Amino acid sequence: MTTASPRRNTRKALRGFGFYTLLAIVLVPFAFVFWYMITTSLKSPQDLTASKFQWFFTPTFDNYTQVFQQTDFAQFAMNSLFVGLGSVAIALILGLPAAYAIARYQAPKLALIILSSRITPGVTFLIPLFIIFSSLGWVDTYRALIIAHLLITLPMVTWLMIGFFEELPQEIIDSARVDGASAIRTFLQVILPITRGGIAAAAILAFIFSWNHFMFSVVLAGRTTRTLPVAVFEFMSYGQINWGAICAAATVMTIPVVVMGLFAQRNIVQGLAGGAVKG
Amino acid sequence: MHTRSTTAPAARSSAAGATPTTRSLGYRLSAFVDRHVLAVFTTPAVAFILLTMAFPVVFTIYLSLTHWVGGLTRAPEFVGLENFIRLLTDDPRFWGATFRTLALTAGAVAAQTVIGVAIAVLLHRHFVLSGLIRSVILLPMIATPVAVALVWRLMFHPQLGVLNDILTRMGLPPSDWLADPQLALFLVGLVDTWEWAPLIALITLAGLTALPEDPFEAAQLDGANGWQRFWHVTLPMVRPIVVVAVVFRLIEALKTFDLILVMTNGGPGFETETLNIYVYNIAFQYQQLGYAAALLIVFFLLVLLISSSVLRLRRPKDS
Amino acid sequence: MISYKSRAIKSAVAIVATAALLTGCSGAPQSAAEDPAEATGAFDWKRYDGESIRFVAGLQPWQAAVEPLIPEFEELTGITVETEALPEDQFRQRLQVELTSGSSDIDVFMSSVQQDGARFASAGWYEDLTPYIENSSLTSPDYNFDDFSESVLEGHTFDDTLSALPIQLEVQMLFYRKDLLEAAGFDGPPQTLDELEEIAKATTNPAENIYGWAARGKRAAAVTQLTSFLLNHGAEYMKDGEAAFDSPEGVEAIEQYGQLIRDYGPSGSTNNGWEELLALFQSGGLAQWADNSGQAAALRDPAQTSFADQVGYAAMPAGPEGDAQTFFGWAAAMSSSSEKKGPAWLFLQWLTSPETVQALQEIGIPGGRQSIEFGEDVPAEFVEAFQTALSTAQPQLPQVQSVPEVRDVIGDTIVASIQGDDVAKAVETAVSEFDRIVSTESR
Repeated sequence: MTTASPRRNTRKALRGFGFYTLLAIVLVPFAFVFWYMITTSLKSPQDLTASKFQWFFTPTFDNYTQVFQQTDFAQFAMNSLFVGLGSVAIALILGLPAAYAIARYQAPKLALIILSSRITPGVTFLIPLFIIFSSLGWVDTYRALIIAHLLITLPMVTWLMIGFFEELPQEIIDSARVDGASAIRTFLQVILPITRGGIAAAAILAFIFSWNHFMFSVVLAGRTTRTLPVAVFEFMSYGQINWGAICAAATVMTIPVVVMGLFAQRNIVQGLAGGAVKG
Repeated sequence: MHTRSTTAPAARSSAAGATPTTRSLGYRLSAFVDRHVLAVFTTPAVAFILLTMAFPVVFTIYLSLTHWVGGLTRAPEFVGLENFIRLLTDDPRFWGATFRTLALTAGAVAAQTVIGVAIAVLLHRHFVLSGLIRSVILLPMIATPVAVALVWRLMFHPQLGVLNDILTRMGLPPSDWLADPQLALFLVGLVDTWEWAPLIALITLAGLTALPEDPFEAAQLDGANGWQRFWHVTLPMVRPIVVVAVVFRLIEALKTFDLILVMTNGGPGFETETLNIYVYNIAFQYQQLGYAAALLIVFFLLVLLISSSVLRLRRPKDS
Repeated sequence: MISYKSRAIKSAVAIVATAALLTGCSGAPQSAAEDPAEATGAFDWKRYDGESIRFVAGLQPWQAAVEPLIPEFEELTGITVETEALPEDQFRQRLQVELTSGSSDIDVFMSSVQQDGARFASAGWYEDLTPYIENSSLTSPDYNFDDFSESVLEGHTFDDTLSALPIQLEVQMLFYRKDLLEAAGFDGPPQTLDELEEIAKATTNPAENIYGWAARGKRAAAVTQLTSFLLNHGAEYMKDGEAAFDSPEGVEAIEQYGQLIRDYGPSGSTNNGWEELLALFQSGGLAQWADNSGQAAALRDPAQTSFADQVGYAAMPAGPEGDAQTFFGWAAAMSSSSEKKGPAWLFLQWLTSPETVQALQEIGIPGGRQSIEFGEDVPAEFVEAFQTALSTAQPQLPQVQSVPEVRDVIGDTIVASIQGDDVAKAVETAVSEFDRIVSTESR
């Protein structure tokens, strides 16, 4: 590096400034909506129905109290968690080997079969799955929901991991084979650790999709297994609409997955940056 | 799972069939697996999907050939291909919905890809608070779609929403937003882009971070500037992973549901009615299960067609 | 690859065979050991002590008021009631999926007979209630069935089968701001549609974000509000089984409905359902608002509406050719696939009993009984408007089977009218669609 000159410094400063401006422009639309959601959840009914939009107001936690009192929020959250973890775990067990094999052996048709449950519109499943589960007596059980959610998480995990597995250099696999390892061993002890980051990303994304899924929950869940997204609508019954509580429910619903997301972005980047993939 | 006897004979697994030593079950299983990796590794997943989808698919095909009101307490009336014929020749609402689905998907996914990749490039280097910023950008995709859609609906409210308040404070005329038939579909696409560009950004970012340094250094030595480096080195190298994300997103976007149902339910009039919303209304509002099944089949074929075409565009890996 | 195909085919066949068996079973008619309607013996609330039933409801003021009372029923009868209450759209979806699949898990459910009644009835999902009502072993002597008005019961009867019992009645009502009207020089609510327009014109003040008039404009949702306009112009939805709203009076009515909203209503009306309008009224932005009387619960409550004492209630104003009022409502019904019809009937009976209806009407939720009075806390003006309207009210929806389709079709003309498009042309398209839909209905 040559000695810094004033001109170079200014140019550097301008570029830095430009960067941060750009960053701000990108951030505002994303952050604004959530700011709006959180502030609405802290407003009293008077503030919400005021004739002019209230930019400043006295915050109140009443809406949150209402959310926890009026709905079985904790139970819904537990259900969502259970179903999410269950379906992601099974999706990993089924999907990781499948994705690996499809990637290494170039089998796009199989990939398409697995993806077909995402290509099919969700409405297709509602009545038939209900018929099956109800004749088995499985409605309002975790089993049924996990199976239904697997139709979402399995293709997602598989599809994303195919991309990651394809990026693996052949040398790594060959060197593992030379050591005399079998396919399974190679997979478990060599491949999986390397693609840790990608796996974490896929798992977390799949979990998020399951957590946020709405349609199946209405039809297949019952009182004991209902998942979170339905809770948002509980404050929108006929003749009464409580925007504050809706936003409070939405906020509380989002927090767990936000925490996961925070973990996710750091994890993926770290995992991939530190992995052997970099060659 | 398999015993250590596989490594004991010190024979290569590829020559397993010829080795006469230790024929333990574990060894034989492992050898079997090695010969049929593709089958063994993929069967559980494929079998699960096929089993779970078998009944719904067959049921839907069967239904599509019937006229059925009344559920399983009544026998359905077999009408052959009548539903399909009506669908293709006598249903302007179907064509409208199809057109809107395609327009919305194409526009939204294109926008998401461009913006997503741009954001990833922007956030690629480390800077002050980069972790926090990245987390904020992720929020739209993480939040529950139905909840977010409700929040946007409130923001768009012509009288009580914050957006019109901002407009009027800036001296601009207020808009009808979602109630404006010209704007409605565009706004749905906008919210969809807002929600999913972060997904593309995240995946691209992961891909960017994994890129090796060498090509970049080489390009820099060759005298390529920032823009050239980006276009000719970075992009081609992240392309495979971006395409993965885009295809996935495309399939999802064709079926956008929660967002539209909550924000407009196809309104005003039918301006934001896409195929998925149309099918849903036919099935659950009108209860015409036979016709809905026919629609679903056509919808499925459409999504299949589009996703396989895009998949074909994904050129084989450059070495 | 061939092994996958054959495996897939085999699995598919197995699944389908199993499913056919299962669905065949669930569709089987009830071969009950004892027909519950034939029960004998003295009436006893505890007859089915120890049983349990499942009740599916939509989130509604009625449901919110009744649920806390259910433990009383459980104590009275020893029957456990498992209530599943879902937000309206999800409730509807869930109900349909369950009934379509012939599930025996539902015993009692809420039903909107004007909306779904004809279709549910033709699908055979309602259990005929008459045998239960007439059986003195199953119906308490205090039930007082005659308290229900004939015309209301008729709306719940399909093919001479009483399919459901009314639990909540609503009429279309005019809500207005007494203070705004007074300030504009009017001493009371409008009696005619012309007066309504006058008031709307005088009270509209866009600078203050106040609009003189609003009504629903959201496609299907708006249709229930249009009906009184139609009737008061001397038009009707149907005549002799065919669409009749393309008469000059009909087009006039639809045009006026849209024009009033266009001229004096908030912009963006084509997306306005009750959700948007309630919020708007509560924020002080509306001088007059027509919607169904169920909204009054929120408007009366000072905790929800800051100017609750300034809210006025009136029956809908008269038009050039008439003074009709319209009603809507919810009912409770028994599933024909239920395996617990006896206990289900006791529950239904209790829901519609004089005591329960009294308890609800006390807080302003009107049931279907004529002898019950409103509570004292309910504004007198509301009570008067409600009772006047109800006495002459006609159903808000056309009496066909395919109500949801037809609602979308008619709703489209309303949207066209609000947007200022050619209403006559829109109505022409709507009428041919209407006729086509009705002609393809079974029976």
